[in-house]
Amino acid sequence: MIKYRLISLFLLLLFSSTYGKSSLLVINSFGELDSAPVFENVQESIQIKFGSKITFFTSQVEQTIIDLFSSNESSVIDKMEIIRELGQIHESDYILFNTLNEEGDISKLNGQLYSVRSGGIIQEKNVQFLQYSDGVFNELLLWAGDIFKKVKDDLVSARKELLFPNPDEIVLDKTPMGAMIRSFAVPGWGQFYSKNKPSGIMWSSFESILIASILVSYSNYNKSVQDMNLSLAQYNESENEIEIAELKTQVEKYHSEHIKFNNYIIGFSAAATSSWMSNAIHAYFTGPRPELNIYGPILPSE
Amino acid sequence: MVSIQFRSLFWIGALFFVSCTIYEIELDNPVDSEAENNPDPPALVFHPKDTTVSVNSIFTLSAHIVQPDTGYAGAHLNVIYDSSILEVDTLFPGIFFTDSSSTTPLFVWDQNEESVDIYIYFLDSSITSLSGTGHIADIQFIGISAGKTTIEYDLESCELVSSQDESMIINGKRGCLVTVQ
Repeated sequence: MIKYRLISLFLLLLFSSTYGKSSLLVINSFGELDSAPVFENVQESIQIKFGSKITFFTSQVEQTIIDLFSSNESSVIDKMEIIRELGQIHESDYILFNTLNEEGDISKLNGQLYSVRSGGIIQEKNVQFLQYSDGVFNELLLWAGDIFKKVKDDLVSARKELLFPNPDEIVLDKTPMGAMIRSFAVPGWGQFYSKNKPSGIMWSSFESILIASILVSYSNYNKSVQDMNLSLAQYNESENEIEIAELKTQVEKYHSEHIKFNNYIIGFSAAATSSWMSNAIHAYFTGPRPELNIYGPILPSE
Repeated sequence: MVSIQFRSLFWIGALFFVSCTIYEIELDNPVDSEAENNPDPPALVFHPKDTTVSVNSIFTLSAHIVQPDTGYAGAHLNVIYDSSILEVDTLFPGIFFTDSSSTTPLFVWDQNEESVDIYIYFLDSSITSLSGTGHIADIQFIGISAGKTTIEYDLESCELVSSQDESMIINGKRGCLVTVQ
């Protein structure tokens, strides 16, 4: 449920050196956001951080426009028309549409930068982050910095300060190497270890089929060799012309069969080995890994 | 850790890339006209092509004619052997003659110092000649001293004859290697 939705519209004039002397219309849609009041300070902060020439005005945007932007079902053509219309009304060259939602401890920021001239999207950013003190505020400014091509070091530092201070001390229960070693030992084990059950079942089944094929081929090979030796002995012993001809045919048949089954063994074993190695490599690459940025414990909200 | 993994990788690879043995077969029964080491037929051969026996033990060697061109009614075989190693014990007419006739064929043999002459003639009244590969005679030898020797045909003295007493061509021969131990 949306507790309340803060929809604001503000215009940044003289938008960044990257886009020349252009103007930017910003539309924010913040739903279900406990920390929404912090956005009252966003405009001021952007002005401080990105230049005094930026001026703002705010107004409420119609809900239908927000819905049109937010909905995945809206057609691209409809969006493009709205963007052109809004751009003309507010005399802006670009429109930045931000949505921010909270799901539990995770905040999700989606930013889309549209060109009024073409109506198309030219830049997009999706950020998911754990809530931290002024985190939403900080991430919004970082996104603005991306657009302005002026990412402020203090904002980056503020984000980094939230990372786990001593990542070397983190002891990981599960590692990609652990997954690979297990898959070396038993195909699919590494995938099960990584909680990738379908993949584990697939690898172990595939490897089992190949190994079973090797064993069946080996059994057939052995039988062919035994039959061949038996027939050859009978052939050598026989003094009957007709019997010799029959035994000779049998010997030749078993001889070609033992070559055929040997080729099967080679083929299946090559496939099994390749598959085994691929399974281990797959286990390594899909093995359990820590998040790239490890955050410290979340402080209870006041 | 990494080296252990690569060693494991190597052994898994080695284990699975090993194939089984491919056996070569030698189809070399002397009675088989298409045997690898047989002369072009018609030929006189012994079966088996080699044998190992003990001193004072008896072994049997079968004399065969392989795929003669036409029917034959009789044969003279001259078999040479090393009398210092082997001794002829006895001889029997081959199945080829005895099985196809209700009468006993004429079968005589004459032992010389280092050879034995075998004469066999087909005496049937209704069937006068035989064709195809056939068993002519069995020769029983005794190994009298240890050594290796070859029992051979002397083709110059051997002869195949038709029912009209016409001599037939013999293209080759194959002996038997005997080891007495």
